Amino acid sequence: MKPATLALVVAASALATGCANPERSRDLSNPAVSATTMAQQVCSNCHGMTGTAESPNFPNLAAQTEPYFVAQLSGFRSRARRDPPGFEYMWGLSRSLSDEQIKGLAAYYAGQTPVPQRIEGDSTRFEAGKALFVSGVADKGVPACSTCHGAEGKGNETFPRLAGQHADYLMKQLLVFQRTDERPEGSIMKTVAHDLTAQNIQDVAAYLQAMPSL
Amino acid sequence: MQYVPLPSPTSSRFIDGNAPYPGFGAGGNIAGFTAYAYWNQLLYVELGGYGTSRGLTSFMSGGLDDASTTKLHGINPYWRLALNREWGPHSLMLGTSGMVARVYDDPLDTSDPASTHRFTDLAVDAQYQYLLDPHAVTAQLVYARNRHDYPAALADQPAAFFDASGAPTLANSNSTDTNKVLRGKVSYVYQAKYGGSLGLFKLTGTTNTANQTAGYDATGTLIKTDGAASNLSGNPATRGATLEAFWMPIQYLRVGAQYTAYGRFNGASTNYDGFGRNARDNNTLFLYSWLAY
Repeated sequence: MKPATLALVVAASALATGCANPERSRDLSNPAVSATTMAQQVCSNCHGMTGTAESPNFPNLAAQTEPYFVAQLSGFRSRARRDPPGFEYMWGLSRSLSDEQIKGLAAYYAGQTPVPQRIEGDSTRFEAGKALFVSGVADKGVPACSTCHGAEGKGNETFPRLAGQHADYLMKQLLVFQRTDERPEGSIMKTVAHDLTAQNIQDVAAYLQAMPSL
Repeated sequence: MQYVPLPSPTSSRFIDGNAPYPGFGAGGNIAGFTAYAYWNQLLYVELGGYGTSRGLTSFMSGGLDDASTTKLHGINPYWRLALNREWGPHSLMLGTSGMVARVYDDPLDTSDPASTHRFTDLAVDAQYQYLLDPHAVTAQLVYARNRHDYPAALADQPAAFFDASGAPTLANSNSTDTNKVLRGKVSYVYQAKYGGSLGLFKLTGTTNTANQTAGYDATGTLIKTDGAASNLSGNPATRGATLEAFWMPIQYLRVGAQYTAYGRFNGASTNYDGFGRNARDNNTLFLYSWLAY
């Protein structure tokens, strides 16, 4: 074998070994890849290394409650959750994840520290958003968000953390609940969001994104 | 921008696979190893070297006979450096890339390194993206400079053509040609389903009698040797616009139409081949569909 050919074979073997190393793997169908590796090698591309996403297209996951996280990722895997961003990105990514990996990812993100988000909006908007969050809209029968999501919006079990979430994401999801059946596991939100106006949705989303900075 | 099967001017960038004028490209039949690092979604660095595909890498030129394979002299460096910045739904990338390639004039005779063409490419590019469902806007700008040094045996040679009276008064060939390409493109996609784009391209370069493929022969008769792409001026200047609309009914299927209009071709807007063919005669409507899986 010529030296150049030999060098090529050695380089190719080294590359192949690198790809098979579960500590650096991006293989989503290998149950041996740990949740931490997966979070850092794959999920981080959109959701950030520590669960804070720069782009509002992707939700922040830092400090998300574990039961809610597991329910969502399992919902993507079974294709029960089918809002457009869900199936565009998450159906394919979650297809081969094991229950163990989903639990591991939930634990990884639950353990991350949320980063305060940009404050976008004026005080009138935040006041209106806060009123909705704390008291709901009595004459329309809209309950206070804080009842289930907690006074500080940190979430509770299957009720997700909302504080510090991207306003754009929250608005889109509220519309998904209000107008579609694309998130059957969140059917309770269909009733809650039913009578929200576009203004209500913008106000509460802006307030939640700014929490806990306000 | 899609590849458009069109008659093309005789010179283009060596490593530019995107231009709608695919002239002197390596056509992907060379072999290279590059190493890249992407740090913190901020800095991208890639360094590599390309060589003739042979031995273990011979599959890179599979299907081509020896005479059609690009033969490179030694290892030819390629590099790319890019800075990326994201804020909210916006991202901006500024980059630069380059390659120096020494290509044998005759793929069947690689005995003398003095018989190589030397291509020196340098490019700067910028890309801005706004991605927030349901909107995706992308704007790109590329400026590239390509220098082509001819092997000594091909430089300063008598022109193959004559003047209108059949006299050999045309300038000798250049030892070096320089081309500059400026390309911009803006595209918009709605709901990852409907999209369109507008691209503008402009290629300018030095005039060289060796690049003429149309002209007068020794009897003063006008002749051409490259069909519809024949070049009377010896200048590569080409500019135009590409307009595209597409639809993705399902995630992995795309159907589209692309129209390319030329304002200038082979150095002239009218009669660029001496036989009355105008730049706009190359305007092309291209209907396509692709399936990804």
